[in-house]
Amino acid sequence: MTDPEAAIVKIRLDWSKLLGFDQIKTVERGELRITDSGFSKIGTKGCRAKEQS
Amino acid sequence: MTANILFRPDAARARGLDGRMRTRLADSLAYIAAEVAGAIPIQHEKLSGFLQRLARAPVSALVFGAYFDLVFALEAGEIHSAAALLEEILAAPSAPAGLAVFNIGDPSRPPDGRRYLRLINTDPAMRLALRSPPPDVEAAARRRLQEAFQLLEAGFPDLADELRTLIREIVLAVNADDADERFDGASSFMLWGAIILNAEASDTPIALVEGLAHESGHNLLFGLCADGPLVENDDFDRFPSPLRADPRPMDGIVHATYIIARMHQAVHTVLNAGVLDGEQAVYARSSLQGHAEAFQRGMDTIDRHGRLTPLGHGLLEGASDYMRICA
Repeated sequence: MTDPEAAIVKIRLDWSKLLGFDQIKTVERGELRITDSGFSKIGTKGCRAKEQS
Repeated sequence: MTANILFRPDAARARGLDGRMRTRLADSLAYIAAEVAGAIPIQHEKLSGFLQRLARAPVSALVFGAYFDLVFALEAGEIHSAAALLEEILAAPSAPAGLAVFNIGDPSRPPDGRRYLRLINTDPAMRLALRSPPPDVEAAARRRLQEAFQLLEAGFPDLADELRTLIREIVLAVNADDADERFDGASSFMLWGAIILNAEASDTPIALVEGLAHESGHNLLFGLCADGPLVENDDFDRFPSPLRADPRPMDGIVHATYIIARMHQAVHTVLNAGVLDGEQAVYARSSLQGHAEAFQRGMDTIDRHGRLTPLGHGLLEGASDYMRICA
């Protein structure tokens, strides 16, 4: 049951039907946090400098 | 040799990937609309109109971002936020033709800057603090971008074509004054079609060519792995990165290693085309050596620890073939 006036309404989505969520294996519901590979703070110079330090 | 062909830039493949991502987004939104009916009033004409636009043409990366925000809101039970996000998505127009370049705090695009920044900050251990570039820095970055594309169009037109197909939005930013970490560029699965570049980094066109090849490479891999992963390693295991000082998941190692080869390919091809001036040619030769060494570091880690899927194996085989022939 859902209540449109409620601040919190629980709708349980089937992640297997959702782009970007269908491959999540290890994240528990309620702790959804995407840590995909897309994040690429590469710093081709900066990171090399850090690795040398 | 087939694998090597798969490593070449290909605008037609990029168009196919964009089409598949839009189809997946449409299917996901149609599913969500059916699930939330009763909790959120769905305007079916608007839904139908948006899905038709989405089938016909690309949309802004922010529409993909809004979709992820919508799922996060529904998972958190924030129905009012979810309703507003769904309304925003359904009102979104098709993306304008061509490549848009703007700064992350462009006041004409609220609340875009915040969404870009939030959705590239997916690593809780390493937060990006960004702000808009000052006008003179932004103007200089725009000039360098033009020069970088001129280099590509003259020296590696296939990559220029693929870039213009994969990337619709280049978002310029600089490190915030209190930033702990330097950033050169970022991209996110959740912002399909956008890359964020540091307007103060890549101070020559050839360096920017590398940056464009790198960030667009992430988008290429996002598109290729939308229906399946590159690796079977545990998401939480960490390994040494060939590019970053912090250890990364194997998926990130594969991304980095593939993209190093792609940067090598961009620099090598432009250098061999004879379109670089003397100073940039010196930079290019030095850079190629660094890419070759970094690629080997990445492959060593993958060979030791990687559990590749057939997709991941095929992509790396193409990159390895290229490096074996050209590096």
